[in-house]
Amino acid sequence: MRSFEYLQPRSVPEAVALRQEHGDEAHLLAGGTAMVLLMKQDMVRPSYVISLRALTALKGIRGLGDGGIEIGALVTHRQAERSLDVQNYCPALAEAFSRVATVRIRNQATVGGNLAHADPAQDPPPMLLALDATLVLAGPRGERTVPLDAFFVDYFQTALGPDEVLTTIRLPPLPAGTRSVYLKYSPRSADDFATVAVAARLWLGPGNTCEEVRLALGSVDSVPLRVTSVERALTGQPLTPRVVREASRLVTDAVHPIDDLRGSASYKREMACVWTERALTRLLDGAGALSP
Amino acid sequence: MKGVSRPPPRHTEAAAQFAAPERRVEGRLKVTGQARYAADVHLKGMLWAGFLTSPRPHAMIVSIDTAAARATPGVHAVLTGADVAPARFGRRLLDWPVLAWDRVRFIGDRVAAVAAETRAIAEEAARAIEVQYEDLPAIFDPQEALRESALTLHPDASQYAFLSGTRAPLPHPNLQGYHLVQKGDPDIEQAFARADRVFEHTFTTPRQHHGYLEPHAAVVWIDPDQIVHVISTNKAPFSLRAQMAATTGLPPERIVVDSGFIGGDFGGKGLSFDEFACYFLARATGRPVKAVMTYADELLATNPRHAAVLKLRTGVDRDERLVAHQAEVVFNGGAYAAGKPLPSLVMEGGLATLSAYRVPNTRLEVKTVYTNTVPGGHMRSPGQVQAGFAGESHMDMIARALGMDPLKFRLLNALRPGDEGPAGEAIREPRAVEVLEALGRETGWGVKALPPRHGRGIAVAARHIGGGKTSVTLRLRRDATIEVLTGVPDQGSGAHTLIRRVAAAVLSVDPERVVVTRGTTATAPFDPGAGASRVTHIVGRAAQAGAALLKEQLEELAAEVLDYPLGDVRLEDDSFVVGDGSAGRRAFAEVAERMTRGAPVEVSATHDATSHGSEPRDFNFAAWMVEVRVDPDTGQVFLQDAVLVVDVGTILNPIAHRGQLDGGWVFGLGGALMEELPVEEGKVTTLNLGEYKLPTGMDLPPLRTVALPTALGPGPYGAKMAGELSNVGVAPAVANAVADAAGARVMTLPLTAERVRRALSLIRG
Repeated sequence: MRSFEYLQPRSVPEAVALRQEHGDEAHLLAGGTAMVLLMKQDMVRPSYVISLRALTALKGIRGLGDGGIEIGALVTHRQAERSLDVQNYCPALAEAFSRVATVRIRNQATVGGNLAHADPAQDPPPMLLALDATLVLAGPRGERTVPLDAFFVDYFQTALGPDEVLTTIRLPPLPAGTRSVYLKYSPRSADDFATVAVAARLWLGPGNTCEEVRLALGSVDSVPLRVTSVERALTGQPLTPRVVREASRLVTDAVHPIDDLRGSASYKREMACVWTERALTRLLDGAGALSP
Repeated sequence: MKGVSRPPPRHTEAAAQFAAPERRVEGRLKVTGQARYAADVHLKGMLWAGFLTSPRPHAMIVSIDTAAARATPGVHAVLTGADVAPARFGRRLLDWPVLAWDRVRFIGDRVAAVAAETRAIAEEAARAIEVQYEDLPAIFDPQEALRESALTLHPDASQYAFLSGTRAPLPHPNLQGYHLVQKGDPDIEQAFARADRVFEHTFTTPRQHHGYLEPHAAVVWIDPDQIVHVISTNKAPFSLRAQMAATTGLPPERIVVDSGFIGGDFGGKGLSFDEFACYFLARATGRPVKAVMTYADELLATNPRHAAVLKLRTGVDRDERLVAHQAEVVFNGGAYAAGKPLPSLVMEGGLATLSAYRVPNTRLEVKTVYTNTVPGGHMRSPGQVQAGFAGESHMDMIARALGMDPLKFRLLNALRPGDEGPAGEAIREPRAVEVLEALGRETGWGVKALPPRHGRGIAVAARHIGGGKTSVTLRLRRDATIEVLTGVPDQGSGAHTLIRRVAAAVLSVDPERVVVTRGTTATAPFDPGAGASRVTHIVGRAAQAGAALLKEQLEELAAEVLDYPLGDVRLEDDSFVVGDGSAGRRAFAEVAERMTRGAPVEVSATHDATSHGSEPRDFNFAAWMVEVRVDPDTGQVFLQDAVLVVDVGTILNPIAHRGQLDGGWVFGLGGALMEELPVEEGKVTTLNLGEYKLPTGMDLPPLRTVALPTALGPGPYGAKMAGELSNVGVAPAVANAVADAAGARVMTLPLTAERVRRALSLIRG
C-alpha cells in the first residue's frame, strides 16, 4: 500500500471542499472494507484519504412523515438490518443488508460506501433499485438528487462527481400491501458474493392483477440491473404461475453476465431466469407482505 | 522395532488413561497472544525483503535495470539472479532458482529481491525494477508438455542437485518424476482379457491451496561467528537446514533453523521460499532480513495441491470381483519439482486409486510433469485426494453399471486379512470390511427411505501411517520439572501436548510436571519434521521409550538418595513409593531436589520406524457416507447428513484427535464443493480468499464421526494417525450421492452447482 495523507473533515461542506482541493489524488473512505482492500492490492493508490467517520449527521435512519425513510450514507449494514424503521418499511431490504458478507464486515461497512463502490455483485443495490431509491449528493453548488439506477454507470463507476459526497439514501413510501423479496443464490459457499441475486416488489390489485412491480438483479451485468422488460410484461396482468414463468424468461435477453468462478455467463443467465421466477412466485404466494 | 511383530498393548487400560481431555501445552500463550510467530519477530537493525515477480509464464530475461530501485532512499540491497546464480532450492530436487537469472518459468517466479528499511520501501523499490523479457512458448497442459516435440522446460536439469541419492532417469525431459507399480500379471492386458467387463473413466481435479491462517514468513541473519540463523515457518527444520546448506554451499553446522509457532501447515509449510533470498539479502547487507508473504503471494506462487487427470480402467469377472485395475495418473507439477520430498518426485498417494480393495492385477503409473504454472507441492494426503476421488467415483459407476448396491460391491471386493494392497503392500491389519460394515449399520444403508431428490453416496479408503526416525532427550531439572527436548515443531496438531501426555503416563507423574521444549536445529536432536502423519507415531514412541528409560533412572537414583535397596523405590502417581508402600510416599519435588545435586539426570531415546522392504505397513481405514439433496433447476448440492466411520488406535489427545478427524472432513468438503485454484494462461486467477473459497461454519452439514478402535496402532499405546485420513473420501462420497440423487455424474472437482446442472441437462437430453 502506498502511503497517504489522512484527512478527517468535520462537516459535509468541509468534505466537499477537500474533494475540490485534491481532486483525483484523493479518495473518500467510509467503512473502508472495500477501499482498504483495493488499496492493499494497489488497485487504488490515493495520495489523500478523506475519512468520513466524523460526519455523525450521516449516521442516522429516520422515517419520513409520508411512510418513506431516509438512510444516512454512513449507516452501517448491521445498523440498517436491525433498524425497525427499515424492517417496517420493507422486510426484504433488511434481509438484503443482512446478506452482505459476515457480521464483522457488516458492523463496519456503510450503506453509502457500498453504493459508491458500485460492485454489481453486492446485495443491497438491487433491493434499493426495486424500491426506487434516490440518492442525495452534496457538492460545491449544494445538493442534487439522482435516481439510483442513474447512479450506477459501469463496473465500480458511478455518477458521483469528483467534488461530491453521497450523503443520503431516500426511499419513497410504498403502497400498502406491497410484497417484497430478496433472494441471493451463492451455491459455492454461504459466505460468498451472489452468483445471481434477485430483488423484487409487487403490489397486487383485485383478481391478483399486478398494479406495480419492480425487479432488479445483481451479479448479472456491469451494474446492478433493473429489468423493465419483465416489469412491463407483468404490469396490468392477472398473475398466474404461467404468466410469471413467461415473463421471467425475458430476463435472458436483459442481462450481460461474465464468466467467473461463480459460474459461466450462460449458467448465470439461466440462473437469472430461474431465480427471477422463484422470486416472483414467492411474491405471488405472499412473501414479505407489509401490513396494510 | 523392525522385523518384530508388536505384542498387543493393554489397550483398554491405555485408552482409559488418556480419556481426559488434554490441556494444550501452548494454549495459554496462544490465547493470550504471547505466542510469537515468525512474522512477529522484530530484530534490531532488521530490514524487510521485497520481491519482483515475473508477469510472464515463460520468457528469457533480456535485461534487468535496478538503478531506480537502488536509488530509492531506504534501500540497502537489490539482488537479481546474477547475484545468486546458480543457487536453486527444493525439498529433494533443487530446481527452483532463488532468483531467476536466465529465464522465468511461471507467473510469480522471482526475478529480483530488495532489502530496505520498511516493507513499503522494499515493495516500492521492487516495483521500480525494469525487466525486459523475450517470451518463449509457454506450456500449461501436462499432456502437451509430454509430446515428443515439446519444448524442454529445464534444459539444464542434469546439473540440478538432488538431496540424498541420485535421480532416476526419465523417459521425457519434461517429466519431473515417474513411478510405476505393477502387481500380478506383468502384462496387464492379459489380465484384462480375463475380465468379463471392463470399465474406463477419466477424472479431473484442480489445484488447491492449503488455506492455513499464517502465510509463509522468515527472518534470516548472519551472526559475527558466521552462523546463519533462520527463523522460519517450515515444519521440518532439519530438512530446511539440509536444503539451505545445499543451496548456499554452507556446511549444515553453520545454519540454525528455528521453527517456532506455526499457524497451520496442511503440507504447505514443508517448502520454504523466502529463507533463501533472505539469506542472500542478509549476506549482502549484514543485517537481519525479514519476509512475510501476503495471501496474494501465497495463492500466486507457493506450492498448492497438484491438479490431476486420472484415467482409470478396471475389469471385473462374472462374480463382480475385481480382476485387473490400471491407473494413469498425470499430475501437473508446475514450473518446478522443488515442492516434492520423495525421491520419486511424485505423490505416491496417486497410487491409491483403489486403496481398500483386493485387486490381483494392477498397473499403477504416476507422472508429475513440468509446465509453466505455479509449482505443485504436498497438501494433506498428497496424491490420494485426487486418486481417492477418481477411484471411489469409478467404483460407484461400476457398481451402478453392474446393477449392484455400491456398499455390497465394495464389501465383496474389500481387502481382507492376508490380502496385499493394490500396490503390493503388506498391510498389518486390513479393516476395510469392518469400516464398511459399520458404515452400513450406522447409516441404515439400504433400509432408510429417502425423500425425493435426496441421494446417498459412500466411499472407503486406506492410508498408511508415516514412519521415520526421531529422537528426544529427557532431563530432570532442578525445579522438579521434567523437560522433554524435541526437534519437531507443533504446527497446531497438538504434537507437543501429546509428548507431554505420553511421557507423563509412562513416568506416572502429573502432566504439568512435564515441560516440552522445542529446540532449534542446533539444540534439539534430529527430527524429520511434522508431516506424512508420522508425528504421533514416531515422536510419540521416542517420548515413550525415553520416559521409560528416565523412569528407571529416577527410581534407581531415588533409591540411592533415600537409602533403600535398588528396586525398592517406585515412581507412582507423582510420588516415590518405597517397598510395599507401608513406609509412605515421598513427594516428587523433595526427592528430585536431592537427585539433581549430582550428575545431570538425562536420557535420550530414538525411535526408528523407517520403512523397509516387505515388512507389513500400518494403515488407517475409513468409510464415508454423505446424504445430499440436489436442486434440479440449479444443480445446487445441499448436504443433509454425513457419517464418517474411522479406524482409530488408542486416542492420546481426545480433543485434537477429534479436531483432526472433523477438521479433515471439512477440509475434504472444501475440495468437494468449492476449492479450486484456477490458472488461466499461466496466471492464478483467485488471488484473495474472497475468490478462493474455503468452507465456513454455515456450509457444514451435521457430521457424525464413529470411531472403531483397535489396539494395533504403531504409535505409543497403540495409537494411529488421524491427520491425513478423513479428508480423502469426502469428495467421492458427495459425487456418488449426487449421482444417486439426480442421476448426474460429475467427474471433475469441485462439484459446483454449474457442473451438476450441466450433468443433469446431459441426462435429460
